[in-house]
Amino acid sequence: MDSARQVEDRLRAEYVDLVPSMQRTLTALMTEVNHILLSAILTLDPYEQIVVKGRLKDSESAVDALRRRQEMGRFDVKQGESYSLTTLPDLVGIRVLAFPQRRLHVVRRILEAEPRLSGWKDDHLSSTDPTQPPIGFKYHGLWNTADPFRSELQIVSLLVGLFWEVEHSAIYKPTPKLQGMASSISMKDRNDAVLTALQQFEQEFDRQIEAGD
Amino acid sequence: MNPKGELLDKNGYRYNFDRLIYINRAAKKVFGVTAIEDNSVEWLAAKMAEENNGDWQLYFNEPPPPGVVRDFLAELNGQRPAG
Repeated sequence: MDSARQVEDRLRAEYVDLVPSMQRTLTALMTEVNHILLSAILTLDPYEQIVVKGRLKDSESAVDALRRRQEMGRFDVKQGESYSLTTLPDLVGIRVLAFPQRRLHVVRRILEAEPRLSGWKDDHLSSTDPTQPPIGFKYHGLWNTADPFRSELQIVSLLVGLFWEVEHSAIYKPTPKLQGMASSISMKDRNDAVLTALQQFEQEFDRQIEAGD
Repeated sequence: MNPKGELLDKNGYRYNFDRLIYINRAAKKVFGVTAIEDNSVEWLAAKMAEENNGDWQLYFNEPPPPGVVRDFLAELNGQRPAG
């Protein structure tokens, strides 16, 4: 009978097999998204930003993310063969960061008009305040139809994206086990409060620009 | 505070971030985080109030595999899990 370690080792081996196609898709996605957004990037005001970032989920993060998707956070060793990293929605991820908020909506309009994204499933990040717009926009799908995995495209405000980067590099990267902490109800409340505050900060920034001379 | 979080806290449930569960050892009840997210606060209160026949009661969207439950109970009892 397999042990949990053997299930994880099988997934690590699957990851190694997937890496070449993941790298090709990441390069294609980065290049094509930058190309699609080029006209918007070239017309930015000096204080505005549109930044395209990409990453491959690393091997341990991928295995751990799949483990956390199982009830009780453990693989069933009897079903070891049935697990696959290709069920994760974000082995390849692109994040478009935009500042201020109105540029976020420009980016969204341009990318949602892209035919290759038309079949992608959206999974937007709702604000806890129903009167507020979504915190960010997420889409999952196959960039290349031959890919055995889905890719994720996120469109978020610059401040929210940078907060996530800081949170990830300060807390979860050094201690991946703490990822489960983010699923607790009280941490989600605190996280929502931070995101809402950043969103409101950006909205006020937009308002000041619109209202200024 | 979120009403579900308040209810869990008030009733002595503690979060286990490795297992992604809320657990009350005295009540012998375990709730998966996704089950809590996907159900109402009334559902949560009703499940907390359910009679317990002395065995652990597990509330999940999908029942965890028997081997995973067995290892979890062994962990709780301070035994070395199988595998």
